[in-house]
Amino acid sequence: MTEIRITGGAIHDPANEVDGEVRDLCLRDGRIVDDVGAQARTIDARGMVVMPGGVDIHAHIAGPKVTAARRLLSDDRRDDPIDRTELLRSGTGGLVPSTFATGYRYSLLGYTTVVEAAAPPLAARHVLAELRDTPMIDKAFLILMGNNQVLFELIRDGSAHLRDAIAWWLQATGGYGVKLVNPGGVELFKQSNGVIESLDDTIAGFAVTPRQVIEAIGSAVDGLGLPHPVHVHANNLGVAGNAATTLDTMRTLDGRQAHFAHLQFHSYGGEPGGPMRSRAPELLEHLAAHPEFTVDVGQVMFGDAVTTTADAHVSTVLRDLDGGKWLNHDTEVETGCGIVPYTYQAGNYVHALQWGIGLELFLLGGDPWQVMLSTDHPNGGSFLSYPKLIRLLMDRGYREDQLGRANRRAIRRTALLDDLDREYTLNEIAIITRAAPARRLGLRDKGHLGVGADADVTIYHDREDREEMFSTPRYVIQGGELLVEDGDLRRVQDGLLLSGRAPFDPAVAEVLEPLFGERYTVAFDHYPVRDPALREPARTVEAS
Amino acid sequence: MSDGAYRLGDTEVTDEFAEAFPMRYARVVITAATDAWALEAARSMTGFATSVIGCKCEAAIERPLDAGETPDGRPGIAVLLFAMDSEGVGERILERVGQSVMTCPTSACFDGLPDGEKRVAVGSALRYFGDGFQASKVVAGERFWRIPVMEGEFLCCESVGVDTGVAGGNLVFLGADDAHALVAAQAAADAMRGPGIALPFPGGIVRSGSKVGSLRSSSIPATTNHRMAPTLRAQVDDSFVPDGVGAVFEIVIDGVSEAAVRECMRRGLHAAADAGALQVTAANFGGDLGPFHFPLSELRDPP
Amino acid sequence: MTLTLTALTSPPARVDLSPLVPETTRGRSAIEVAGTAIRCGRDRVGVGELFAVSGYGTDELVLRGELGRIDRIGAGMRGGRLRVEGSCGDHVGARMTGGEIVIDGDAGAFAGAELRGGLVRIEGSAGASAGAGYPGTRAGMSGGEIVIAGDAGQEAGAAMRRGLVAIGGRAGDGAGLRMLAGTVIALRGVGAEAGMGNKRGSIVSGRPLRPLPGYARAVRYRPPALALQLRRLRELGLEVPDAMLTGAWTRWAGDRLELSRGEILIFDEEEVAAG
Ligand SMILES: [Zn+2]
Repeated sequence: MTEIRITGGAIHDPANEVDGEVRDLCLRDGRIVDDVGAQARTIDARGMVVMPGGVDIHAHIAGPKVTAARRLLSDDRRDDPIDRTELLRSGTGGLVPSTFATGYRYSLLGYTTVVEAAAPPLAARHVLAELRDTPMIDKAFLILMGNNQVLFELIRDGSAHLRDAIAWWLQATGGYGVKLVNPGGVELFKQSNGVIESLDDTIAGFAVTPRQVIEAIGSAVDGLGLPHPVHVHANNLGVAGNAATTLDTMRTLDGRQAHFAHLQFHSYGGEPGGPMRSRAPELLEHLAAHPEFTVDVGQVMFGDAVTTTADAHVSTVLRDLDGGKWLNHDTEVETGCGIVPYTYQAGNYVHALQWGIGLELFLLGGDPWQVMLSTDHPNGGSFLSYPKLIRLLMDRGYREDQLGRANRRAIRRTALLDDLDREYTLNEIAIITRAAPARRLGLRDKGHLGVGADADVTIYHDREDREEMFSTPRYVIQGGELLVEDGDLRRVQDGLLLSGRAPFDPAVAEVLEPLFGERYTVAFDHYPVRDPALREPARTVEAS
Repeated sequence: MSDGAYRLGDTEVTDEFAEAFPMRYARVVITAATDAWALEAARSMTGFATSVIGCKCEAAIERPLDAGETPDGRPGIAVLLFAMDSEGVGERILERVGQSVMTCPTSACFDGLPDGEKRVAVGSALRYFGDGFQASKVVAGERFWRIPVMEGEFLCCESVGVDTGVAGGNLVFLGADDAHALVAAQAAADAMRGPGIALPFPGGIVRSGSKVGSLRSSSIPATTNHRMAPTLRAQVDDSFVPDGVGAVFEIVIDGVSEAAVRECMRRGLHAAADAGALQVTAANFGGDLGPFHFPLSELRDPP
Repeated sequence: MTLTLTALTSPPARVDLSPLVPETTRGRSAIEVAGTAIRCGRDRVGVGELFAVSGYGTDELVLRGELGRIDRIGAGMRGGRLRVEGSCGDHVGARMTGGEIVIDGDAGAFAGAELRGGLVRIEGSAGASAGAGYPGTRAGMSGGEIVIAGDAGQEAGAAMRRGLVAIGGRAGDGAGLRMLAGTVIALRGVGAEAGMGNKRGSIVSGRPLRPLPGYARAVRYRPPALALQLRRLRELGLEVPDAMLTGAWTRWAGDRLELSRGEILIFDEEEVAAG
């Protein structure tokens, strides 16, 4: 196996409280070790910045909705072809790159682990097949459980089998964790085009409320001790005044571990249908008092994006704004899906406010361990825009220049003009892009550079232009192998599939089977993914 | 006779000069099913456009166009419209195309100045008359609006070009009596019309020349040019009307360039002399106001 | 001498010739151009392996020989002049933004697809989807002119948003499918199902036609804008009968499914003869 010694770099390893210390880093057999032999390959990192590989806690890179987005965006992809080479497969880029391109481009960006944040369990085969075709990065997926009719029944009946059912589902799919998307609301939309007005609205036909779903599943996941807590996309995404819903959701989960996805989209004041306001400060205040919660921001970046969401209702709203091509899809029993190409415009009040709220969440004094970087790729912008976002956080002058281009009325509604001089340090960037997401995902071997950790290392030139610096790492090492040098892929490997697991009582199958029989068109016995080519190899992270 | 004065036959040409100013102008090409309807539209569009002070613009028919010269292959008329600035040109064109061309049976409206320095909206503003039913077509890179009307469709160019021209060139004709003076002025006007020239007054001729301000009131901007009024000759001290002159006419010239105005004046001067004007002179404000001077002394050679 | 590429043999797979346009060959010698890599199937080959190259690069580029498997000639071109002496493959002039391409013979499918500007002139006939948008594209052609002296295949001008597709012969079925705006003119008529899903476009048929049920007859009149466009077609070298310039056309409004803002104009010869 390869041995590598990285010499002379400034190490940024916040999980181990290392902040720019210049020392050697040794890698052997895919792990970080104390020392390596004299024959080890040496990488001269003098004057460079050394960080753990990037960890994306929330993105959309595989599964039926991503495939559907690719099909819908044939025009966008056509403009960004990727040639086959001796080493690489051909593909297409754009906002939703093909599977191979996704792996290549994340790797070129210095990311080594990516979580697909919303997979319908019924489509687990599809998700797994695509992730297997996504090279380079280690990857995991979260399964959608917030609108599952079978779970609704268990919750309504106060079934003691809920925890076992969740653990069974993870086992059946190879998923890593549990995701709630607009809990109860997608089902309501599917039934009646309705929207959740309060967490205590009843979901017709099931006699359960969103609050019961959130509370029951949140508690079950917390109780199971899964490596990643419940991952919540709260109700009323994008709606003016939804901060109240978000706070109510947080209160419902009080005291239990939870991660709130793309908080920016859930931080709005005002009245539904009326002008939007920022309530980011209030949400940050709530977070500060609740260390059991973390969030990722879901920053929007000006330019083209494509909203790909299980929140089918949101896509009907967006579609009406634009009138362009779109797609809506029902996944039986479990969830919905909507896709709408979208452009965030700096001059548009709402878009500029969304952009500003995202920056407020980053900059208004939140704890970086609690507030992580994401664009909800590709919803707020492509993952390829992370370097630009990092520059916005690290470079006040650049930020103010960009502020000047955004809709003035919107920016005045934020705290961004109040002499906000915060500039992220390299260590803080390392926290929000690797250390905190890895810790929150329960990936003890990732997101840090301590002895025994995975040898996932990204080395950057220390450039003044942070966008340039983070766009093109000097070296990317994953699993101890050098994959990228100066913007060129040098080696292709598969990357790991990460699955989460908790023990469960196999008798839960007897509870689930009749419920499946009543609702699914798929036989219970055919539901779990067993194909070894899809399931293996995987690194399983156990509940604790 | 002073230095620059000369005679053309029996006509005395004074040592005066016309003084002119830059103005903005546009050229609109109006076509119709027949010459007659094109002329109706053009007359209506250039009506009440004699002086920029009183009418906010000065406009006149430039020349008729053969079917072979127009964009849609129908007979047409080229119209020139002058105003103080391009905004003014734009506003006046819009009013006049809207009220006088769009309304006229069979008409269509085209830009006659595609290379103008600036552009002002015509069809792109008039299209709202279509109440959402309008449509546009781009033909050879130029956009046209199709505005549905009771007759069918009014076709109108999206915008017209605006350039800088020269306004205020003039000739003044003095005759033994009104009939003789008018014969000379008419002959001059006929000779002066042509490409690049607009003669904005009725028939090209103005009989009520004015001076700036008033002898009696500070609130009247312009009053009769009493020094050229033959009936006042015996009662004002500063009359310019020489002995034996019974009537005076003026032709005011707006042109697309200094050269166009000069040559137009040359044509007018010689035509008036041929037609028996007693004297031809020109009006100015002393020479300090307008950047363009057209001394009659330079027009001695026939066109 | 004008830079001239003469096809040596029929290539083993379809060739993407888009890297060679006047803009990229200008100022380059035949040897340099012969060394340019182009895609042939999944491989990259030197231009010199497929073409004999002569002359020196200027604003004009000439292609000769058997070009039926040569695709994407002049695709994305921004200026200059490209002459194809003979017939060519698919996607000629696709997405070009300026300049002029003249094809002496026939063109394959997607000629001038998603054109942005400039002129594509085909002296022969064009295959399917001339001036059309590619699958997945909502707004296809957005400017420029495509002139086809012969016939056009199916779905000419599909999804176009602006510009002109002028056909001296007949257009196949589905002309102007899902058109947003712009004009498709076929002097010898259009095929079945013209203008399905048309929003604001104009489809002009020089021969009688029974439009789809989504179209309703409005009036017989002399459309002034069409006269202008037909005169432009003459400038572009198509033979337009005088009767079409001065005569009457029947206007059908549709597609009703898209609020009837588009139109089909059908030449109405008979009454002209009578009147
Ligand atoms: Zn998401």
